[in-house]
Amino acid sequence: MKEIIIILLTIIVMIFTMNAGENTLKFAEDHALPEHDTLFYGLYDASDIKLIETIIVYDLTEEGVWITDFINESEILLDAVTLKPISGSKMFHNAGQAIIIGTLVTEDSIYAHLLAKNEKDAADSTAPFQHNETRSLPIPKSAFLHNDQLLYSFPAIDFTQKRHDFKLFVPASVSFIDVAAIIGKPEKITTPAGEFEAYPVTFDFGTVKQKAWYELEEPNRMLIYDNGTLQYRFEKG
Amino acid sequence: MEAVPYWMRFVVFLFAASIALTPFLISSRKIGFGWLISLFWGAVSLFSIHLLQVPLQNFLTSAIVGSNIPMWARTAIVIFPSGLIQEIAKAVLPAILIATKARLGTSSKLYGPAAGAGFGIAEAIWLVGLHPGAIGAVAILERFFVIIFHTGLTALAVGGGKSKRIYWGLPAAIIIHAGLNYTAVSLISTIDIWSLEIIIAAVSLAVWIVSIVISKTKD
Repeated sequence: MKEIIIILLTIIVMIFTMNAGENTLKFAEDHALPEHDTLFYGLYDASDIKLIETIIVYDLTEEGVWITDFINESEILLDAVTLKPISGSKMFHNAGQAIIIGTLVTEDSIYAHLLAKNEKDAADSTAPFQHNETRSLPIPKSAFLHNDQLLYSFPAIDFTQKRHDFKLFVPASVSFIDVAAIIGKPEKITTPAGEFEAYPVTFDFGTVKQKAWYELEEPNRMLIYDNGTLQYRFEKG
Repeated sequence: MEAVPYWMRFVVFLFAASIALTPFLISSRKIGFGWLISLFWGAVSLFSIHLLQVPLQNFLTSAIVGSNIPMWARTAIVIFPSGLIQEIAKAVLPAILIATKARLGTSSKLYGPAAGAGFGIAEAIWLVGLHPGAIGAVAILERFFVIIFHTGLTALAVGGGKSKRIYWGLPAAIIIHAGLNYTAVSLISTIDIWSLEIIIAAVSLAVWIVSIVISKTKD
């Protein structure tokens, strides 16, 4: 029994000392997201079969930068200077329900408002919502990104810094998770739009890793995003 | 696949618990009401997932972000608390009742399996019993065997009602539980669902049979 306790304590101490988890998210000083841009991506499965196309739209307005991802049915508004999230919404479908999660960020809190309808009633604006709930979390002291901006804010990141640690707000679970984005050495990659020099970026979520490649040249467009099951591949912009 | 109606889900869960507990009830000289307290405790101990297991898993996940630990080891680190917390939580009251020789009209060998069955039923109701979606027969069948698994594991954890056996029974139960969860998570994307369910069913039945044998053996 003593041996087991010693082993457990050793494991706990090792885990505590594994990762300091300091927040190191840093955007490039002279960089901003595109003012107006439309990027076309093909979505491919593991068998390399193209399933569908999607469009990502950047649009700078007086409110800030809107980023819309059509296939994910998400849109998010960011502060044009700090790239902090201001508000957003995302629709997804689960267990026969069409669910919209709206996000609103204030100075000290982040709110997620969930609206859910029966899938068959979703198109009917007069049908009552079955579920209507608001939850909130305090804004973390360290920098954070919204899940719907993660991939599309990275063109503005400081690519000379090899590692960025930050918190990621996930509206579906109304929670923050820790992420380390590790930037590798530039490499050549090919997408349907041609051959590019790109920064490989590994997003480390703890028990899951995802990878994306960003163009070496400004505006550092996202060229490939691989979540382990699906790949976004840049087609034209 | 057609959805299993709510009433049928609950019937299956209760049937699984009845089957899992029957050998322990038959071999007990005294049945009394004490085992019902343990059954209730097992159901209540499900809250340990929310109160302890998930926060611990979130902490561990945050701690390993960006580390050089290989992915298989990360998965093991994050899954281990599922066995650790659940087995300890289920075994707390049965272990106290056994150690203090508080019989409450019940044979001590009934406390462990009753707590396990209570936990298994509560978990099944939480995960799929009340789920509004189209829950298919595979999910219900899996819960059937998992209820048997929990019943056998907690019987094993408290050493079949013999107080000193908890020293090896509880660590064994923790390792088996975490091991099965690790296996399921590791294989879920590489083998078909029926093969995975057969593995879960086989391990559940093996643990249950071993726990019955242990509860009948003398010190």
